[in-house]
Amino acid sequence: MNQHTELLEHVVAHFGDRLHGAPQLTQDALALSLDNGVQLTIRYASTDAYSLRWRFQAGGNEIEMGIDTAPTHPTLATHPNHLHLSGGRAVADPLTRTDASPADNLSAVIEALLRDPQLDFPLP
Amino acid sequence: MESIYEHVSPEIAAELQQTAKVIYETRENRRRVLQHAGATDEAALLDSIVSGTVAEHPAYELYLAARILADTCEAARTTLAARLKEVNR
Repeated sequence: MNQHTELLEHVVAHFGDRLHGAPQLTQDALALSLDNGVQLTIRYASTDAYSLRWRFQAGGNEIEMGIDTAPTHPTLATHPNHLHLSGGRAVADPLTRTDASPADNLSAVIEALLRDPQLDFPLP
Repeated sequence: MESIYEHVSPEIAAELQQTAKVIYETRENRRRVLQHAGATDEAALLDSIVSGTVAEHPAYELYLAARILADTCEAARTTLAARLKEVNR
């Protein structure tokens, strides 16, 4: 069983009633639709190499944000993981940790997205 | 040439064929992902992201996709080898 299959089972067990439609499991990603309109794409290669990106509608525009571990923002406190805001700016990641389990990180992100897809950050 | 499926039941042959298909598909999909990213392998793509010669996104998602596909391919190879050894006992 690969990581995405385990994550799919976790999501269905813990957030099944908040999903919109069936999750899509491909060979390289897991895609979910939440019942508040958020489209979340998950790529988990290992506990410290992942990308969680989501899209949603706000103010008549499609907004994209994401958390990932690309080693590109060394000055951020949470390096390597960071959050890309809707304008593209990267800030410290408020939700995931590279020493946490993929299931725990995904739960933290889904719970936050169900509360507010913008994670309390203002639109650009 | 003797088929590897010749001496196994239809059910096991179907299982082996399915695993072989996963090996082929993940290998080819990894190749296509890296080609799309303009990289020879995952390490080269990550170097390009870190050095800023390619935009962080979607290059990092392509890097992760290539890694996941490579890992899946390797896991399927291991499964196929173990299953073949088992059915040929």
